[in-house]
Amino acid sequence: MGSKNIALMAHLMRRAGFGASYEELEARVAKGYEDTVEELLDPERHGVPPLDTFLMYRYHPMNEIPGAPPYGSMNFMYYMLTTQRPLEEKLTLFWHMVFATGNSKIDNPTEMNRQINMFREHGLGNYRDLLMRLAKDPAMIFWLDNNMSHKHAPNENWGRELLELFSLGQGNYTEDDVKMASRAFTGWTIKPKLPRAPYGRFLWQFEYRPEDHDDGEKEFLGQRGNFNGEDIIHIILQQPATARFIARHLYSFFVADEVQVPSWNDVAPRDPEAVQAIADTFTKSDFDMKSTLRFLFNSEFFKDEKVWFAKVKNPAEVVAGTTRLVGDFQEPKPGVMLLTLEAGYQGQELINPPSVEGWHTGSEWVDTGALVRRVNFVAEMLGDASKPGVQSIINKLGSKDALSPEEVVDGCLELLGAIRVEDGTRQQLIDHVKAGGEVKRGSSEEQVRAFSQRVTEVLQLIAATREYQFA
Amino acid sequence: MALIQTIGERTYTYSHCVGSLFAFTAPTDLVLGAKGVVYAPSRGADPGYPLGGRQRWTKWDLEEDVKIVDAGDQGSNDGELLWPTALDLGPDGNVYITDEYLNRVSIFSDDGAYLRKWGTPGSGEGQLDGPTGMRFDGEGNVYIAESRNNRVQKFTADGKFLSTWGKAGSGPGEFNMPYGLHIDRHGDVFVADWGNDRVQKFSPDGDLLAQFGSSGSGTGELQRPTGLATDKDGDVYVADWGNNRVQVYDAEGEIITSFYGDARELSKSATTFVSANSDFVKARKRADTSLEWAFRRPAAVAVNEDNQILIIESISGRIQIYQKEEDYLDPQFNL
Repeated sequence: MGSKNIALMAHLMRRAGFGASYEELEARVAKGYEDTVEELLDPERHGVPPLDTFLMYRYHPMNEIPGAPPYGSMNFMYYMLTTQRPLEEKLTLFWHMVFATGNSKIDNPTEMNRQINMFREHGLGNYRDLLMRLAKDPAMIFWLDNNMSHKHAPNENWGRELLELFSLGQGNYTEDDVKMASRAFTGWTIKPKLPRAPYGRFLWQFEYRPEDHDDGEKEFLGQRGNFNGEDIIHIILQQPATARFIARHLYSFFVADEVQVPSWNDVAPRDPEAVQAIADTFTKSDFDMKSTLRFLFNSEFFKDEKVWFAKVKNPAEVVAGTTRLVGDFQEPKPGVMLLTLEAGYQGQELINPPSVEGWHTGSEWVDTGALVRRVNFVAEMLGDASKPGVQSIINKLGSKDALSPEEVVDGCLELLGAIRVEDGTRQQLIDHVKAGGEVKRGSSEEQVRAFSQRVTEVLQLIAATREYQFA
Repeated sequence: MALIQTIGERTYTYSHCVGSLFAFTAPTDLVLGAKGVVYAPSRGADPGYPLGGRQRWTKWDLEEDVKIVDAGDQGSNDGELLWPTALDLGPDGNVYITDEYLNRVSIFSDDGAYLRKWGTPGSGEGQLDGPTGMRFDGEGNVYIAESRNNRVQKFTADGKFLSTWGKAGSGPGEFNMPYGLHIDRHGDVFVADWGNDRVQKFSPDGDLLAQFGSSGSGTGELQRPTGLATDKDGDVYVADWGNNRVQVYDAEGEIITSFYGDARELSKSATTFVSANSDFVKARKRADTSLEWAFRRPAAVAVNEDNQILIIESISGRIQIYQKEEDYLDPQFNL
């Protein structure tokens, strides 16, 4: 049943999306790897429709102007569950995790969703353009206090994080550069906000106040001039460190887990050559995300089996990926809120990262509490034979009347997306099936039900393996 | 839009607004009761989080701008609602509500007590799949549109099937996820054909009489129309939900004008809320309150005997009221 093509496609779809059903993997293999990458990168050109926001707002009206914070996160989760443009959404999550902005301070989920939507619309475009938009994004301005930064009293929060976390990375600028960048962004603020009641929240508005901008001379990263904010971004992009910093983020998010960002100055990249190659492409393409990701997904270091399952799934991937795998929520129905909350319980409350540094990723996603939630959530989903995706797996396995324990285990692993487990894990799964006796589909209603139960049992056990936690 | 506009020999004046998001939470319909009273179902928030606004229906005093009855709750047990969509008053004076997810009609007394329900899920005659718009006719029978069965069915008030028409599609008489339904004073049935961006008008037996509107945001075009109503002159008011406006057509379906919302003053209940909080008063003095004037997802329209046009907004939870003047074009004296 399995093939290397399927396994490679499963790897691509786990990274460039939220996984895929076996049927989708087969269709994509038939289409071809490079063509799939092109479709993911440019869904518009390939006729893949965007999400129908009217349909979402009809059935989930709170997704448009959310009141309480979790309803703001629900908008993002709905996209991840239902989008036909998985890379667009995955990259939206990527930028959300890099340019981490938290509703804990913004306290306006509507405004947060506008920022998320900006990542969705422009995330696959140009990084320079994205930084410019980010600098004018009302949520970011409020998050990093730039509305409190004045000509005669600059606030350094935005200036510092722009250099430390959004572009150059620690060690590639001085404290004076932070001060100069902050001066250059004075006057970049937001208009006075309407209160949230009595008619609900309204979007905030960017405002440039020339009278509050420090137009004096500044020396920034070795250049001298009467810089404004745009100049600062242009100078930042001239630094090789910026391309390396974003390249390492891309490697860590799409290829294999890196150490946490604060350690990047002390710990070398896992694959320095790959990171440099991404950085070179990023620079040569004038910071074009599409060109850079095209290079990444088609590279040998991405396809290398050594990096398959070399990433711990983040909670959004666990929840959205598993829900998509079992074919749930493809039609509007109540319950998206519960899934949104589930990602939060597992440690990733969307639109509300713990700080501007974002979530700590990799193995830090998993502590004992989170692990139990992850396993229980997946096991419950995969154990529900009424879900179309689970039914499809059962039917596929049931095309043969009698199966050996090895066929049951290998079949389940394959149909869940060519999952690879260690030999010891596989043997334990086989032993479990053996202990339950012969696996036959049969034809009576009772026999078919028993067969379904045997299969879903194995699926649930796979959900509990260490390996299922990896993407 | 100007607060007063004269067009097509009709004059419309913005009057005032009532309610706020504390009154209605994502309302989906608006129905007139006794003079000065309206009813609206609230779609509320997705289940799972307690502070999102529950599913319910509300009886509201327009003059005092206060709640009279607030009934129903989130859930699928008897008396609970998940996707309440349309509300109408039955010939028995009770409150009937369609639930688009639970595929049933729940019936409450006028003071909010749950009484009973009817409706079984399915696509057969008399079954329901996605019941949305609902109105009683002059004979006490009820018409219901269905978003997933893409049809209209007629029942007695206690749910006995009488007739049906329509199927999925975009051709004449076909539907794509119909939403609001209205019956005019002649008994003709208007359906907001949500996914097809049009309004279709049928005889009481389901013969297609007219259709108007097409996809877009230009004059006369519609984007996901939801609710609709007619006045005593036969003019048709359509909640052009996706375009954040209300479109006014004459009886032949010719566009007359559009309303975009003019709520320059707070409603009475909103004023009470704001004035009780000095921080809100201060913030409102600094901010651009003109953002509040426009409709935010107008969901349903109702027209009363005084030619007042009431428009309820899904996001702001507010009802904006316009007056259609009848004597504005009378000859003027040289005062």
